[in-house]
Amino acid sequence: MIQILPEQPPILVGDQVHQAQNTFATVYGYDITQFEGSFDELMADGGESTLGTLPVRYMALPGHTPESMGVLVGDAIFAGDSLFMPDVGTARVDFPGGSAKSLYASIQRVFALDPAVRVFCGHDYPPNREIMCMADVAEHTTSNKHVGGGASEAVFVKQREDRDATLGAPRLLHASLQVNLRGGRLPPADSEGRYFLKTPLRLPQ
Amino acid sequence: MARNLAATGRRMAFALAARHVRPAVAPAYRRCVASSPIASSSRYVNRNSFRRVYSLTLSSFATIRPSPVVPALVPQMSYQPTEGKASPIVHSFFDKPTATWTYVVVDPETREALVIDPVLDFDPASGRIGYGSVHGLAAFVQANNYTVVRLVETHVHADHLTGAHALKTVSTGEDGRGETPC
Repeated sequence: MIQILPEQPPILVGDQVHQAQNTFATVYGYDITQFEGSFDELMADGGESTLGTLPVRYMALPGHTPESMGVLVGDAIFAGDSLFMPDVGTARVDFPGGSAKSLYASIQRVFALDPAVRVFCGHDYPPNREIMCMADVAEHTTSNKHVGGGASEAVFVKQREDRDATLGAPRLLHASLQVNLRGGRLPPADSEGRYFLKTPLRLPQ
Repeated sequence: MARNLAATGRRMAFALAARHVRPAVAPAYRRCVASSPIASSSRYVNRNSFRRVYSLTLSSFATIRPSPVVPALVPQMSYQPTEGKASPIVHSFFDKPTATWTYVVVDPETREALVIDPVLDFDPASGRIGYGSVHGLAAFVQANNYTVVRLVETHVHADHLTGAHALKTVSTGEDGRGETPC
């Protein structure tokens, strides 16, 4: 057997992932023990590491989800869904454990980095432009649609929560969670080797 | 089952035939179509592919090298390190169906790399899982002689499936077939 990635690199996730695992084990009726060993290492806020010769620092950025992390590698931070491109703003905070206040505080920590630090975002939903993935801290501080220009916490929270109230469930919500809480493994196969995902139904009241 | 085997056989036969005529543009490897239940079909597949490439001489068989069917993904953008700073190379990859950015972050000195938020292909209507993105990313990493030291999930995503586990376990069998146990 030849490994293309011979080192079988470890999978890392934020150390608050247990919050999401506990919540959704209940939602989907999975035994929590199924999630054990899904990730190889947990990233803690303030944790440090290296990538070759480059310094790496982990920053907890709760808000979009409780276990969201930023990974600062040299002068680049990978902030997941905490910040989108400045003209798109920020991600929703209405998942279990999400919080607009927490997201605001997390983003202020990113804004406290060197203004030249490049922020790489987790998605892009371009409004009539080419797709983009990077803007520096200075650009976000001045012009991020939701948190730029000195927006106060109160203004941000209201705007964010009002917007979330209009959003439907993501198309791949249930499939994503059931796989991603296991680091990308599928739920166990049945006795005939078939794999299934569950969709909890919401009946009319 | 028979129909599945035949379909798989056709795909693999096409793959095997194709590699005789396609130039190798970048190291990569074939899509995962085989696992243990299908292994018994490999003889059928080989016969079929032999028919398709019948005109080739035996000596040309002897010099065939494994070559790509799943090509390396092409970065949307590649950012070079900022001058005068401790700064990585950043390759960004965009997954259109889910609008997701995946990053390969590289130390230019050692060529060690992080992969951040890889995507597992998934079609919710059919339930079909695909390894194209994961294999393409692995091919890209391999083509650039990067060593992936960590796979990082920025969070538990609710809008796409992570390819972290598939990427961690991606491998080729001894006969060169791509396999990704999931």
